[in-house]
Amino acid sequence: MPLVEIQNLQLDLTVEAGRVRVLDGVDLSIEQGTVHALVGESGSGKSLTAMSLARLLPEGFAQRAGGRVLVDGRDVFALDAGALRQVRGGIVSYVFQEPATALNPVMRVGDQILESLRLHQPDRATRAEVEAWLRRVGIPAPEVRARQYPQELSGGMQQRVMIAMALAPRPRLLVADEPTTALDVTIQAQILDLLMDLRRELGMTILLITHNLGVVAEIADDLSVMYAGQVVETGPAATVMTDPAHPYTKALLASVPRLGAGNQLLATIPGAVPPAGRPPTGCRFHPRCPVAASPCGVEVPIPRSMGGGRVVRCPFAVVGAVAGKGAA
Amino acid sequence: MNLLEVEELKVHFPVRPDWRGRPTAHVRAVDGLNLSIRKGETVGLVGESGCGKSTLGRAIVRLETPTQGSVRFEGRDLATLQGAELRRARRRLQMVFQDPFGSLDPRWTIEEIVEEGLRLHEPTLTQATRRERVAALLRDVGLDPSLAARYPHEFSGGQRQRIGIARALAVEPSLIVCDEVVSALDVSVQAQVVNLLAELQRSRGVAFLFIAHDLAVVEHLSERILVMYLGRVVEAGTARQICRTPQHPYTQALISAVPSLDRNAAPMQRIRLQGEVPSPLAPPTGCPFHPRCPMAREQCRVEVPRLRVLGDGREAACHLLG
Ligand SMILES: Nc1ncnc2c1ncn2[C@@H]1O[C@H](COP(=O)(O)OP(=O)(O)OP(=O)(O)O)[C@@H](O)[C@H]1O
Ligand SMILES: Nc1ncnc2c1ncn2[C@@H]1O[C@H](COP(=O)(O)OP(=O)(O)OP(=O)(O)O)[C@@H](O)[C@H]1O
Ligand code: SF4
Ligand SMILES: [Mg+2]
Ligand SMILES: [Mg+2]
Repeated sequence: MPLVEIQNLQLDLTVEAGRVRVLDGVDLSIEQGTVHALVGESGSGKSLTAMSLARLLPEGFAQRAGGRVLVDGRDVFALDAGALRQVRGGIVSYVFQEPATALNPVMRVGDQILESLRLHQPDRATRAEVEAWLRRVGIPAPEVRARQYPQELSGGMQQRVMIAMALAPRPRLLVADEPTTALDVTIQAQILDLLMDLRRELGMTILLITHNLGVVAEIADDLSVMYAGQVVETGPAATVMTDPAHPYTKALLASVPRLGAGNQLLATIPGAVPPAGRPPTGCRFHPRCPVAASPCGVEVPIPRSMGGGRVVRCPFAVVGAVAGKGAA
Repeated sequence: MNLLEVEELKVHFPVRPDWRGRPTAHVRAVDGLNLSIRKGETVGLVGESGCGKSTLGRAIVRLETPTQGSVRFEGRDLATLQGAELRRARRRLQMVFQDPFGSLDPRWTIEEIVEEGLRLHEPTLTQATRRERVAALLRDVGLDPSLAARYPHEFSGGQRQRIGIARALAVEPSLIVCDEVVSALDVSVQAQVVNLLAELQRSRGVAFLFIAHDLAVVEHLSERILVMYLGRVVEAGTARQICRTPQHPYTQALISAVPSLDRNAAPMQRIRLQGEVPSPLAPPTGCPFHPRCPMAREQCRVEVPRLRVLGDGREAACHLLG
C-alpha cells in the first residue's frame, strides 16, 4: 500500500475575487521509502497539494470540494483535531524554501528543535538528543550552535536546522518544498547529500517539490508533473525524463538549458500558464500544445495508464516513441 | 580598443559604525578585479551568493563608486567625465535588474517607462517618432505594442523582464549589464527571455555582461565566462573551457555541483565542498578559497595566488596551475 494516496483531489480557495478551484482532480501516489518529485511551473498547485497532506491550509481559506487524501491509510480530511496533530509532525513533516521565515527569530535554534521533540517524542526531548540531531545534519560544534539564534547562521546552516527540526520527531514522510532553491549550488549539493543519507539511515519517504529538473534526475525515484492544478504525467523518474509522454512534460524538459550543451537556442513553450481558477476548456494545456488536435479544446482528458507505472493525462500520448532521445 | 576595461577595481563598503559613526570594518565586495569586454561580446559572470557580482555590475554603470581602480568605457574613465559627456556615456551603458517588479515604476504605463530614456537623451524627437520607436522596441522584445498603455502590474514576470530590456535598448546602448534577469522566472519563460537575449546579441551587436548564478544559462549566452570568489576572479576563459574543462579547484567544484539532467551522461567526478563561503568582512589569508579547497597546501594559506595565463589561453589564480 502506498504511504500517500491522493485521489481526485479538488481544492477551492476563497480569495478576493470569490471562490476559485486551484486543484482540480489531483492524483498522486507515493510509495513507502521512495523519493517522489513534484515539478511544474509556478502556480501549478505543488505547494497546495503538499499542504493538503497534513491539512495545513486554514479551513476558512481552503475548502476541499471533492476527492480524498489518504496518509498511511488515514483519510486526512475525516480526522478530528487530536488525530490530525498526530499526523502533523508525527507522520508528515515539512521543510520549506525560506528557512529564515520558517524559523522563530527570537528563539535559540536548539530550543526550537527541543520544542519539536516535546510535541511528538516527549521522552526523547533532551539537550543531548538536540545536539545529536544538529551533528547528524552536519552542523559542527552543535553545543555552540544550539545556543545561537537563526539570524546568526548562514542560509545553508538554517536549512540544516530546519531539516533537524522536521526529522527529530521521526516522521514517516518528509515534504521538502523547494528546500534548496534559495541556496548556492555547492550548498545545495551538500543539503541534497544530507537528505539522501538521512533517508537511507531512517528509511524515510520524501516528497520533493522542486523546479530544478537536474535535482529530480539526480535523486528522485518517481516523478509527477503538474500543470494548472492537475497532475498531467506521473511515473518512474528515469523513464519520464528520458521518454516523456505528455506534450507538456516534453516541452518542459526541452526548455531547460543543459550545462555543456554550448549555446544553441532553447526550445520554448508559447504563451503563459493560465491564471488560477480560470483554466481553458478541454485540456488545460491545449492553447500552448504543439500537437493539439480538435478534440483537445473541448474534451477534458482523463488520466490514462500506459504501463510501467506511467499515467498520463493526454489521449494522444505515446511512450517509447522517442526512446533513447534523452540519452543523446 | 576594448569596449570596457576594468582595472584593479576595488569596492569596499564601510560597515559597523562605532559610536561616532566611523566604520570599524570594511566589506571587501570587489577586491582587485580586472575585466575587459570587446564590442558586441557577451561575457558571463558566475559565483556564489555574496561574491560581489552585483557590486561589480553596479560599479561598472557607476551606481557604486569604486574605492580604487578604474572603469574605462569606450576609451574613457567614467570618473573623469562630467555633464553632457557623462550623460552620453551613461546612455551607452545600461543595466537590467533581477526583480522585474521592483525596477519598474508602478504608476507609469509601459510606453512611459520605455520612452523615458528617449526623452532624456533625444529631447528633440517628436511625440509621433517617439511613439513609433517605442512600438518597434516592444515588438523587438516580443511584446504586443497595443499593450503600451497598460501598467506593469498587468504583466507577468517574463513580460516585465522584457519591458526592462526594451527600456534598456531604447537608448541604443553598446553595453548592457544584466544582473540575474532570468533567475526569478519559470524554466519555460526563462527559455523565452534567454532566446530573446541571444537574438538581440546577434541582431544589434550589443555587448552584454551577463551575471547569473545558473551556470547552464550563462554558458548558453556567453562567449567568455569569469568565475568570481570573494571579490576576485579565480578563473576566466571561453565558455567551453570553463564549463567542460574547468581547471581551478573552485570552478571544478562549482561545475560538478550542478545537478545534471542527463543521467546517462558520464558524470564528472563529483567534488563536494566542505564548509561555507567565508565572510568578505574577514576574508581568509592567502588564497581566499583555501579553507574549502580539497587541494590546498601550506603555500595556499599564506600566499595570494595571482591570476596567470595558462597554456590554452585561459586565466586562473591557483598555486597549482600555470
Ligand atoms: N494565499 C493564497 N492566496 C491566493 N491564491 C493563492 C494562495 N496560495 C496559492 N494560491 C493560488 O493557488 C495556485 C497554486 O498555488 P501553489 O502555491 O500551490 O503553486 P506552486 O505550484 O507551489 O507554485 P510555486 O512554484 O510558485 O511555489 C496559484 O495559482 C496561486 O495563485
Ligand atoms: N551597500 C552595501 N553595504 C555593505 N555591504 C554591502 C553593500 N552591498 C553589498 N554588500 C556586501 O558585499 C558583498 C557582495 O555583495 P553582492 O550583492 O555584490 O553579491 P552577489 O555576488 O551579487 O550576490 P548574490 O548572488 O546573492 O546576488 C556581500 O557580502 C554583501 O553583503
Ligand atoms: S591556490 Fe591552493 S587553496 Fe587556492 S585553489 Fe589553488 S590549491 Fe586550492
Ligand atoms: Mg510552491
Ligand atoms: Mg547579486
